[in-house]
Amino acid sequence: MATYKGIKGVKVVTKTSDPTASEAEATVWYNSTADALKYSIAGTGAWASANAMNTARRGAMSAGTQDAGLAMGGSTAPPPGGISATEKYNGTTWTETGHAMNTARRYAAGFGLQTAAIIAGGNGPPGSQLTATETYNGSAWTTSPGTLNTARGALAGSCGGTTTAGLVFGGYLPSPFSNATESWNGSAWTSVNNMQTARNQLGGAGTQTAAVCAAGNSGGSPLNASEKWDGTSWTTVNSINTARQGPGSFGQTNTAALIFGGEAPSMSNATEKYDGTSWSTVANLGSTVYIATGAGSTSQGLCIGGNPPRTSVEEWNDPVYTIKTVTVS
Amino acid sequence: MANTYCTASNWGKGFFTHEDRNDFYLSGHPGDVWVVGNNAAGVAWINRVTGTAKTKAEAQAIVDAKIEESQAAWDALPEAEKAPTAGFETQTRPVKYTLP
Repeated sequence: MATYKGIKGVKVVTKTSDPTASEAEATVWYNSTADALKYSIAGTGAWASANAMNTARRGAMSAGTQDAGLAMGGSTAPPPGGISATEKYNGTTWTETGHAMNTARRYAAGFGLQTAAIIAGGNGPPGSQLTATETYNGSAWTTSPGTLNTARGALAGSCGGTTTAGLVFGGYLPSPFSNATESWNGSAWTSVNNMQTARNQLGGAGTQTAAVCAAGNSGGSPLNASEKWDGTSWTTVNSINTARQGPGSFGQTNTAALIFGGEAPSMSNATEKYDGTSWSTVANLGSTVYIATGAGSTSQGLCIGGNPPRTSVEEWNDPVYTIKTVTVS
Repeated sequence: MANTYCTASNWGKGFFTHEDRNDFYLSGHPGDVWVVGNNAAGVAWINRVTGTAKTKAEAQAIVDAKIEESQAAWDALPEAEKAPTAGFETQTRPVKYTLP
């Protein structure tokens, strides 16, 4: 009689309980408690609900990963006004760090890790845009002497950037919209080539040398335009499918990014994934959201807060592993 | 009927899972309204989260009422804050939409 080992070359492991679905990827096991043969399969990416933050925020900034995230600043009420509070996420629970930014702000650019993050620009007191830059080491915020060359709010940043190498682009000026791009080397911002389309409320992802942006607003209807940064210049690339402003976004490169939510013009839950060539529609957020912030990668990421100021968080996983039972008829 | 409707309060992790999202259609809307794919997995989810069943008209009325609240709050803002040049400080006037 043929055996599983004879066919596949491995034995079926016996377990008293199922492993997690992701641990069990591409394996078969016998669950002796359930008296069932089981396996795990990889499905398409999806959002799931996560535990809420302690502080409701819209227009917040974020850094880190799905298991080690950071939410920074934002606004807690519809009337303009920024906050300085920071809280961290361990994959299950949000905890206030007790470390306040030196300058309260919202709609800034933020990136890095939970224990090595940076924020730049943003809106300060009502009607003002900031140049101030701060770094966070997991214990305290420090104001950097290196300030943005162009004060602005509602800008985007390189989600995959670090405290020594990052990029910010676009945003809102009193003039009113910016296409300015600035590169961070750990101590100073340098103006580099502008974006093709000036815009604020845009999504951004990638690194100092390989970034992508999409969506936003240039004073009219929400945009679907997308651009790619190669370390030297921006090039217009294939547009997103749903024009929008104020989306959340994340991604560690300019070949793997996610954009979600926003106004299109009503609040949206639409999610799109970039593969370096084109944007494709993927599974929607659980809820519609506007001005959320995002952290992580296209494999594991976070959608944090949003307008009206909210504590809600969703987790993106791609692929999603599911445990199945072998049925024999 | 493609979808069913309920209200339920999102308690956080586990309220809806990645597996849920791949098993049935789900979208959340203002007023804790949830549009749920009308299949066995969707019905089981409504029971799991102790959702309160609504007709589509009832669900739409809840969403509309929440958006009208948001519109009233937006209308009450100073004109300077509603101008397009206010720059991201306020969203545009909330827009009503039809539930799927």
